[in-house]
Amino acid sequence: MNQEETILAPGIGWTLLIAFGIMWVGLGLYWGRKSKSLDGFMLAGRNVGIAFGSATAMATWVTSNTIMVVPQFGLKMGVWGLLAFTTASFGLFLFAPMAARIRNLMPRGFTSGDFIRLRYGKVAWSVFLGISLFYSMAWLVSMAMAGGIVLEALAGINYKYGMSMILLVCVLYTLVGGLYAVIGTDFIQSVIILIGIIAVAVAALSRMDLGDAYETSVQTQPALFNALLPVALLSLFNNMFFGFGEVFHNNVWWSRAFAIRKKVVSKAFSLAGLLWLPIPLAVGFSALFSNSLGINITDIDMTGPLIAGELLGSTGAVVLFVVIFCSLGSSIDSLLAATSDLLAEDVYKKMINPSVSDEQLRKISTLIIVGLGLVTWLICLPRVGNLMSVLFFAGPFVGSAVWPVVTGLYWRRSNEVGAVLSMVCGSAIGLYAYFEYGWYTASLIATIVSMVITFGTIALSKTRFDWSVLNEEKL
Amino acid sequence: MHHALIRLRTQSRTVAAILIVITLQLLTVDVGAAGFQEPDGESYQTDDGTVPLVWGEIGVGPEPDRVYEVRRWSEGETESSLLVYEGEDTASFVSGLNEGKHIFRIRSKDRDGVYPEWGDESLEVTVDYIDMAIVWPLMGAGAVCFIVLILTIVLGRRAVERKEIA
Amino acid sequence: MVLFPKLVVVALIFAAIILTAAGVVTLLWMVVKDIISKDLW
Repeated sequence: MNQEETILAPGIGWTLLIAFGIMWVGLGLYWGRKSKSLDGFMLAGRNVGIAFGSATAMATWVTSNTIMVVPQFGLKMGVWGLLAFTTASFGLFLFAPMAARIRNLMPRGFTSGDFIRLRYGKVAWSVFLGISLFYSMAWLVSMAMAGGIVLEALAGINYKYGMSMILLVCVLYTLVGGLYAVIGTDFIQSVIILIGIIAVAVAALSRMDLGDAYETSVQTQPALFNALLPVALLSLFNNMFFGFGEVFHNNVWWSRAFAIRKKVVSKAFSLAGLLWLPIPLAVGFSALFSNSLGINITDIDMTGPLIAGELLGSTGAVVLFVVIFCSLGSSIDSLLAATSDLLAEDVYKKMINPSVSDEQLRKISTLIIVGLGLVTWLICLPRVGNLMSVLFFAGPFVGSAVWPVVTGLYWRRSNEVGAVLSMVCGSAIGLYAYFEYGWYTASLIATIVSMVITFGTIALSKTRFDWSVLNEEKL
Repeated sequence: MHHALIRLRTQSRTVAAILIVITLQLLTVDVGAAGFQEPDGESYQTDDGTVPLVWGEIGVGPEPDRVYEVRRWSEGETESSLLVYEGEDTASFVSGLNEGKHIFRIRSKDRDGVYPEWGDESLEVTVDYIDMAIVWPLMGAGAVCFIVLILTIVLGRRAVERKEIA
Repeated sequence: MVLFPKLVVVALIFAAIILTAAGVVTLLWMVVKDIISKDLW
């Protein structure tokens, strides 16, 4: 098995891509009938039930990274590496009570930007929007690029065509169906993802005796089972805070907090966390035993596909192809929708044209989705390589936003100076750590710095925030 | 006659010399031909216990049907070596190495051939993990930050509920 | 060096796979419930 061969014939790859593409767009059209109003298009009518609500949060959080990077974490950092990845689900658990609080405070809110603007004021809002848009674009671009690279490696589909196809499908169904289509397809995608993961895991188990495999791997790759592996221990909290930063600040999650029915919103996020929790272990454990399975990993970036292909042959490649396509779709559509909301509501309506009507804003939203897709496509076109590092680069930025969001939701004394300082200083010192000590310390240090500053300014603060300011409708 | 003898002797010497040179060349091709192309150089330092190895026949293009054997000798572990990879691939991502020095060696043969003796060339990989003296304080700070975060949310939520009841 | 015990590693892996399977079942069960009570959206 060498690097040049693809696991799947291009014909099969294209057939899958087109079949699923048509299905998603068809479903988008079907659900899109409901999304005529602005509330319907942006927030799926603010009445999404528990099944769709938890599935959409879970599926959005399963990105192509979860499928592709988790096995790499297992191979590089062993058991702790996989456990470190599972901590990303903690973000969903902790966001659950926050989502209920958000719904109470902002019954007619639209975006996370709305919250920061009303809670802290315009300076904090600008810094926050900068961080959020940078992170969202990095996420979007890294996924589209990873998608193109994976499709090429798996099925020999030309990078440009594969990447374009993924983006085109996602833009189309988000455009015609709004958040209804995003959430509906997310449900189907999450079921497919979970079943696919189980299939590959069971195939791996049937190929080896876990006990024997453990004995072999402990001999040949002892550090993978080291309970005190330094890099992995550091990445534990780093990953956790990166995850907190991503979930707490990003409009992808806030738009779901606004979209899911108020009564079940907290439960939906907790359940999503529970659904997500076991995924890294189930996806990545075979990477711990690649030696015992007799699989030679020639290229670290292809760890997952190499193992799945070896375990299940072309069936495995088909399963993996579909799972990756679903995880790409479920995250790219959500990001397109949530980021266009942020641009439409926070930038266009609040900064450029405050008197815009709901109907116009819905039209502007669709234009922004097309624009976002186009910009992403243009950035991805010259294949500059795996943009994973850019995403990790965003770690300190989002980590620094954790405390302004959390204290802003619960503490009256939390104030604008603290929010701005903690985001700016947290990001700066986190970035320094990124270059000085390595990526596995950046988010951790950014979050800690941000905590110290937030608490310091709260202790000195004379602010007593009036919560009713957050309810814009009342005003 | 004498001349003829001398000529014969010199001729046989030349032939012998040529033969020796050829066998030496053959031997060197077989003994020292396979080598690591990545990482570059004779030593490699890592802080995460992994090393991406790429190898091939040095000086010649890719050779079909070549079987490679890569082994590792590790300081402080077993006396004998451990098999890293054997087969026709020309790369392997090695991970899970303990802290310390590891020597990697490679040799190759034709599919039905016999391996030559191990050559002198080797790759020395030094694994030097981050000092636990840095790890523990950072972990501690992370744990504190985590616990405070949970408390903020849980207590904040409780305070809100209490106010709603009141 | 402190190693993760074999039992812990094996238990973690099996727990993860079982929990994932339970997740699919829960999702499907919930969607049926939501469809019946017309609570989907």
